[in-house]
Amino acid sequence: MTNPRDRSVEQGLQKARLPPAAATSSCLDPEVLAAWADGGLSGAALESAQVHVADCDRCQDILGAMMRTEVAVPTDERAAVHPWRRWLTWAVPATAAAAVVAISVWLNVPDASRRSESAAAGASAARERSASSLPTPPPAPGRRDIAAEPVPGPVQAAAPPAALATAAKAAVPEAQEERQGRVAGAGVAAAATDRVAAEPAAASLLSDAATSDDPARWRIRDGAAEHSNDGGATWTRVATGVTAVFTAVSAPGGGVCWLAGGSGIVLLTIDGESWAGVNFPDPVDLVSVRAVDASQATVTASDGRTYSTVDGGVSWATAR
Amino acid sequence: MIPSLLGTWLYRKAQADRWRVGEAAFVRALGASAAKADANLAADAAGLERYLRSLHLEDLALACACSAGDEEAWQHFVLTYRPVLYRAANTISPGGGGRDLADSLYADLFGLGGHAGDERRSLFRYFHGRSSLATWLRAVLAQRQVDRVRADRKTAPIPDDDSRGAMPSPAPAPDPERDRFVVLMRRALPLAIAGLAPAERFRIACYYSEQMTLAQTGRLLGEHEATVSPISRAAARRSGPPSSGICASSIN
Repeated sequence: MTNPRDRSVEQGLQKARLPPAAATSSCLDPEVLAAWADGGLSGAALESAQVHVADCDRCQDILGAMMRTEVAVPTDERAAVHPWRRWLTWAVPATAAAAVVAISVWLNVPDASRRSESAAAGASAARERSASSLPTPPPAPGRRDIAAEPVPGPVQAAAPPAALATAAKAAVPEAQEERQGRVAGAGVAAAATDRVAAEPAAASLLSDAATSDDPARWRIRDGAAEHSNDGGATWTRVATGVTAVFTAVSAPGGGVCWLAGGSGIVLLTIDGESWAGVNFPDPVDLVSVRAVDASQATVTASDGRTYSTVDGGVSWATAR
Repeated sequence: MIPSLLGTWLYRKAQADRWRVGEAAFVRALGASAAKADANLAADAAGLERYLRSLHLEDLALACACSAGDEEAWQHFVLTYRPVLYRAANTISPGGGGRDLADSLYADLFGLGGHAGDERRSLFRYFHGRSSLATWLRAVLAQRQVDRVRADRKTAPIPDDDSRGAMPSPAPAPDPERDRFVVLMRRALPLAIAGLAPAERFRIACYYSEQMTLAQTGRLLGEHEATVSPISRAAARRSGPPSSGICASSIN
């Protein structure tokens, strides 16, 4: 707008106001205005607020005054209320961590088509060169080293859910160790984890079983817990009563199963059906759980801290 | 009805026991928050859980404790939020009036606004955790300031060109109809604005009337500031021709 009449329009827009209106019952209260400013309104509530404020100069004035006081809030708190900034702080490392996990899984799963001698030798050498740059946990006692021989058919993949992949980078060795030697103290047959994957590997699939003969199986699939009573032939989603992203499972047997997930959530069942929330001291993301029985378990957080309980979660001891 | 497992988990996440807020009281506060947001949430378990997890739980716990009169909670609130209150009040009411505004709000937060002998009722009962406590305090402060100013205002004439905040008048242009145009524009512009979509009216009001930045306007509308600018200018241009048309027909 450059010509004088356009400038007059701009001037007029600055001055043009609806006649001052008294507060009405439809005016937005401070709680709604604050929720709006912090992104706490959505859907119909947000649309309704916008439509009202478009025609209410009192609410416009209040919003304007609120925006002017924004400078009064410390910068770190201002950053905390913007969800998109919170998203960025974990999305970038999560993407990088997911790439690390994908590479790790790829390098540990030999392609069945590369079985010819020359191809196998070349691939083996290539894998060794690549694998040498990644931490390779030692196999558990009695466990086949799956990196050393081709595995026919589908194999188990164990990438944590993308939503918690922030922890994946630190937890890759932990997750692999968990997968290979979970609950060694309870005599879990390591080979059982090979057989649990009765279907093509899913994007996020962790599983556990008490023994190779126990038909009961538990697994985490895409952040949700699933249970099988027929050795993994069929699975049903577990209703824990809590909507959460689970990242680890440990089933020492006898109907006992521990689940761990984001924000310090730990659940326990002793009959395979009813779940109880376990008191956990810190709202941290948990990436693994190893249980001996219904009383003894150790969970690992995304920052590497481990928490152990011997009384079913009533109390926890931490260690780094 | 909030599932007990979820209530316990949220109670722990809020660290409400730090301020000696009981789990039952905190869960009641969560229920009140959900009811305020949407009366139908109680029937949608997944939606209810999503909503409750999105709350500013620690702030809600602090508000519950302050509402109950916990001394340590009040000490924490005063140390953390009184500077914010004073700074905010001085921003919207400079020249000493801001301090009175903040002190008056503080008294109501503590529950001193009633008559002697009345049960203390804290303003914190209106905080539901959908925003941070700091934002809510700013909103309450802004509402009080605006209502105080509006109560003092007797009439609301359109400000003159030389009033504070007005754009400087352009240099006289060689347009013999300019003065008539300006007068007619002032009458026609509100009519033209009323013809815009609510979102466009809101954008114009935020930017031109409330002097908000593009970033602030975009945040309220859920748009990036780079989007707000061209949309605002397009809306302003759309209000121009109808106004000019009205003026032109009056001139001719």
